Amino acid sequence: MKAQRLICLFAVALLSLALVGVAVTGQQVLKLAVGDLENVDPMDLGGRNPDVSVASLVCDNLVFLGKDDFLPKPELAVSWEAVDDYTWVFHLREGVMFQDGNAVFPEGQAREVTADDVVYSIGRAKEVAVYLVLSEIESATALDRYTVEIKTAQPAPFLLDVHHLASVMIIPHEAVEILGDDLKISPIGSGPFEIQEFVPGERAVLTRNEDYWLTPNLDEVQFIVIPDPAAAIIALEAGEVDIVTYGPADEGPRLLDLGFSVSGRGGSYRGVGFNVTTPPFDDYRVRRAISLALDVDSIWKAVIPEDFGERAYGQVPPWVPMGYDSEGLMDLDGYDQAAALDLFAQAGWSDSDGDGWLDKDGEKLSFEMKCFGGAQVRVFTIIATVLQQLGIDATVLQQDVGVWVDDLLAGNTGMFFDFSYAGTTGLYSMFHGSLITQSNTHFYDNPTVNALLDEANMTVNYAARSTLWKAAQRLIVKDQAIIPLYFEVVTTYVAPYVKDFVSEWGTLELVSSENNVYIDK
Amino acid sequence: MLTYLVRRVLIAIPVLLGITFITFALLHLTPGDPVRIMLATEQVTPEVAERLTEFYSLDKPWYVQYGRYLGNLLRGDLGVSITSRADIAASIANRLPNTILLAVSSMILALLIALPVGIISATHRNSIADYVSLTASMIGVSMPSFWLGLLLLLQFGLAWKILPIWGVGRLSNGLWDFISHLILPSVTMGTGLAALLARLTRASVLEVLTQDYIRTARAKGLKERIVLYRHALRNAIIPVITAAGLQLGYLLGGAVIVESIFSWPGLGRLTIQAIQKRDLPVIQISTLVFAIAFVLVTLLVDVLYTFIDPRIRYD
Amino acid sequence: MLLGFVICAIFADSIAPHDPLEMDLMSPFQKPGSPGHLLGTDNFGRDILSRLIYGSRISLTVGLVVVSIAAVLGSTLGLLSGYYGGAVDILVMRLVEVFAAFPFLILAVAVMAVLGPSIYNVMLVLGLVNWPIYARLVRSQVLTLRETPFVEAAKATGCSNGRIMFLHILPNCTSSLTVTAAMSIAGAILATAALGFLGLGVQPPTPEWGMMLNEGKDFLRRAPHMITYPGVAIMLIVLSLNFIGDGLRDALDPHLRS
Repeated sequence: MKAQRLICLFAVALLSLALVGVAVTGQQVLKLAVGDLENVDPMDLGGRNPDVSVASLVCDNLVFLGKDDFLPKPELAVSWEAVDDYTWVFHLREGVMFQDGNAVFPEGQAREVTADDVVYSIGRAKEVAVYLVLSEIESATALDRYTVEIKTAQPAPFLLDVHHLASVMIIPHEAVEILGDDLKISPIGSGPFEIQEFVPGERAVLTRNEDYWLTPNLDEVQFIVIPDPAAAIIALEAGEVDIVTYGPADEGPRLLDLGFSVSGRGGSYRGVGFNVTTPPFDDYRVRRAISLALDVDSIWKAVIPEDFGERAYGQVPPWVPMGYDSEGLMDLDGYDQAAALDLFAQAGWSDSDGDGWLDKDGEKLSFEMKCFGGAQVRVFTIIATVLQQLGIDATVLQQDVGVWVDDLLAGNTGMFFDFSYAGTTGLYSMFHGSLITQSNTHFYDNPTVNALLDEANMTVNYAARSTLWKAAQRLIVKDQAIIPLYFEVVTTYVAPYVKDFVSEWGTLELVSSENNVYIDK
Repeated sequence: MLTYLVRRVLIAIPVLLGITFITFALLHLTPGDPVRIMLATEQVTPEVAERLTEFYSLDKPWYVQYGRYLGNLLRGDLGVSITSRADIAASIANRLPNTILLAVSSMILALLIALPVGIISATHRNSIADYVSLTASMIGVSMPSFWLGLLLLLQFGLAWKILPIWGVGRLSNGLWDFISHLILPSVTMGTGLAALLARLTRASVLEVLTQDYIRTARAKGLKERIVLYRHALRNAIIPVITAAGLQLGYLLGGAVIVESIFSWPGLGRLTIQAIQKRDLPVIQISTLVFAIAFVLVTLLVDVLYTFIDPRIRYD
Repeated sequence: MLLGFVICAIFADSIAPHDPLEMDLMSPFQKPGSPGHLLGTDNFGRDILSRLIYGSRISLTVGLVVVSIAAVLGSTLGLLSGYYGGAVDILVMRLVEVFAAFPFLILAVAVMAVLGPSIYNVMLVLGLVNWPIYARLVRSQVLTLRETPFVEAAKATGCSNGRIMFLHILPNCTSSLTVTAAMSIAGAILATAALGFLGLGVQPPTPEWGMMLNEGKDFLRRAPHMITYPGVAIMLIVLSLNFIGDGLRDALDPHLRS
């Protein structure tokens, strides 16, 4: 093992010498600033985006999600079809080789990627992965060398979605057997780049896989850990990195003026959430009145620059290929403080003793709005100020994350800052009655909504599913379990000389059938 | 002296055990659970959450968990992080040298500034130099380190491009690479320290200069310089060393803000993130490492006392 | 100068030009010197001067209370430890180690979670965390002082231990104590900023200097005045306390007096 490592190191040293040699003639190196690097075991990536990015350059997936439509596109699988509602068949690309010149496959001794590897990888992912939703897969079988059949327990419309099968990386079983714990720092796969160096918390250096079935333009990709966003922006401006993957939106307008571009795909939903079983929020009129009291447009624009977000009218964001329905939900929105006070009065809350605060039965209307940091605090600071002016004693309570989560899941929180990466199944996990105390922090349990969501979860037909999803979403917003505020776009800042870059969505694709990143200085 | 040292090392064991025990107990009293945090921040699915809770025995009573932790520790098994499954021994081994390097260099820098400045402002009390150093110290101690750090980055890294913006230098890339990466973080961390220590030096020297034995020495006609360096400083340095030792102990725990701004992979950020995520195995180990460093530094300072002032005895 | 701050703190209501909480989302980041806003406005269009004036109440309290808790607790324990030596010394110094080596954030999280995040708990936590430096400082000087002729003389004349400790030895330690205490005020206010960043401190929209530093961090380049003025305010406080500390020491120290 030690000897092998030494040989590897030696090879790396030689290689880097060789690379230094050609640096003069337009060496194509891309440097990305990331928040952290921890563990790049391709099946154990949690929700750690930088680790996912590294692993997704090293490994191929069956499919990747298209840059504009977010729909599955061929990667390792050239085609696939749903034979029936329960059976999917994937046809693999022939002649794809695993990376060689590493501890698993010595130079020139790699083998081809086959259906068995796909079956093995799905199996290991089901065992190890904590973040992927694979319970819907009942079995995966190799029909022949290049064909995999997947059976699902029930109709699985989300099978080829991010965090589902689309996020399973394909690796050879030898990697797990030979590398052991080293799989966390030096995995191999069949992807466009090979890991040369991985220092957790510090950096990762990847070089081009010369045998990849596409020809990457880039010679080298470096991931550099710069945890502080302000420092990362300084590094970007100084030209020490080319891409900052998690830039603060506040810096956006200034960086655009400097010629940097913003490449944001996807992002997350932001809003106000209520636990609909906790007083005073168990009264629909109170929730509705709070919603009416808020001028959402001016609130979100005061928190993030306009180009870096979009007003939300529901929970499903525009980049999710079903259920986005701003137009259909707009009529539920309203801003009318007089009407808000009326509603409060109907619910029994009015300023009867003239002290400036609304009260009921001698008790002041007062509550805490719980959040844990960042832009959340800014949003709630504005909302608290607005509500206090209306005579509602609303205070911001910023908490430690752990305490925030515990309070939320235990039902100790009435009003909270609601967010979600807003992937495809967000609506289900946030509002389905069966998930109360797990991920349904709204304690929302509406039989009609549950039924609609259950049905959508089994509907493979895209249009039909979208209709069901929209219907459920409308009921949730109408019940005012949430006050949708905005969708925040992930802001990736890109230097002007980096061309053809597409930000990550599930996986990071620098080389695919849709793009091939290059540097044009 | 030797028996004293042996006794101190033996006493350190219950101290360390005490610290790990209190950490453990306090964390269990505190709301927050690593798996539930991952669940709510969408890093784990509900079905896996249960599995993880069971796997890490988070559902077991705390004393069972503590026992298991001690057992693993004795076997030399530091375990893996709950949130990232990264190897804890490797994380600590990667980061500890960086932390020690930064802490020691900041402290040396702070002392190099603080001692001369403090002595000069004491011997030239109420002079221009004294007021300048007072003002500088006040600025130094009131500047939040993230502010100072980013200003330095903007000036030296971005505007003048003479010092690197991120990371740790490597000796294999040459001495300048190694030192240049160290400059900005050490200055950021050393400024507040230097301010405190300079004021402390000034105060101690002033105090000692008025003591009877200094007057006696002066009365005996010894040169002012000899009085100052041979008699006064020896005594004046004791509070300074005490404060410096304690601060060095704190620095060895890592400095999260400086580490973040200068992308310095040290223990501070690892620990704080672990605390926020309630990553119990990581918290336990980093607390232990910090405590050991602290105990060693305190011991060192106590031993230093006896060299500086032979009157100090511990028996 | 300190008097000035105290006056600000007491009469904030009548001195401040604006309501410190009043937002004007249409005019954020006004530069210092803008009409009506001498020190400019922050990201919500709130008047920075008014926030500083109101903030002096909380920040002064935090600074003084934290340092008082820490200094009284620390120097008493340090005095006992250094004077008696032996088992007392070992016990107290191990306590110092436990407290100092214990990750203070865990304590902060635990206290805030169990007792609720409030300004009083912030002061409690910071006080508990900061006493070791006073204990170590006092002890280190007592170790030297207890061997000096005047202490032996006091013992010979039959002074009680308590009298010797508090009347003969403690006054000789004041210079390092007052310096450290004055400087620690800044440390305490900066620490509230650090705690606030982790969601463990003073709650927004309360005007408090540490909190203001924190809010300014994100706008360091767009609106540096958001961070500069609270920084300057902290500096002025420390400066004035430092002068008071000097005066106090001159008054207390038996040698400097003569």
